Amino acid sequence: MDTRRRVLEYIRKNPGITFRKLADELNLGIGDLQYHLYKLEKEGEIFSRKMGGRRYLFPKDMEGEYQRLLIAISTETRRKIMLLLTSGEKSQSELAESLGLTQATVNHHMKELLKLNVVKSRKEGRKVIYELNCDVDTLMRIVQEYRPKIWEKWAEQLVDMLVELGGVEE
Amino acid sequence: MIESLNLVLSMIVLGISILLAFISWIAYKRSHLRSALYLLIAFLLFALKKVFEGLYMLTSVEREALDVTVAVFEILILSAFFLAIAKEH
Repeated sequence: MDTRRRVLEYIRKNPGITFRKLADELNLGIGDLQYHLYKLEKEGEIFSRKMGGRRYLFPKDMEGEYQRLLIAISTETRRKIMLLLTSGEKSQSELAESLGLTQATVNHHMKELLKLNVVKSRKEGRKVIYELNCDVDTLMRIVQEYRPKIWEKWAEQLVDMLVELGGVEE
Repeated sequence: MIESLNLVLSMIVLGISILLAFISWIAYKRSHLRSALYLLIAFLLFALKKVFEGLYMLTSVEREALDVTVAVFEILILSAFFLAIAKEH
């Protein structure tokens, strides 16, 4: 029981930690950890999501917030935008310039990120300034471990291509 | 010889169209872009068209009936591609 509490506390302190990292940092065997995570998920204390070949672990009480963050980073351009915003607030034109994208494309992605509530915006004269509205440490933890599979990369490239072509969001 | 080659090429085309449909499906799930959905439909229809063409080789479907079916599929595929690229912000 002590081990399970220790696992739960560690996940609460480090939301978005991967299964492997957790096993390493708590020095637990894979089988042991799997058992405790299964119990914790069953008791509704944590939830996990598999993405880019990694299993990310989160405390259950903030599921909505973390789900939104996982959706937000699920395409390459959005991941890059989020990472750029970790260094401070940026205008739409600054983001477009840094990423080598058109303002229309950045605008599309920003609309999605605003809808997910992981960034917030404010007007400054004619400029729109964006800043992160999520926990930077959790974001960095997830992005650092994120290794999309080859077909996921192709899908991300397809999304970017379609946005460039002028796709309509549902 | 030609028939076997034709069958192999058809299988390759079918495999590629299913792969492209799968990629479009992931893209749609992640972005909810309607154009990705149209691409998914187009690639699935393409795979289905290939299956119909394959049926002609394996069964005794009438040539005219197959031609009409394939032509309908082609119209639907091109329409789906058109919808995927013609949408604007």
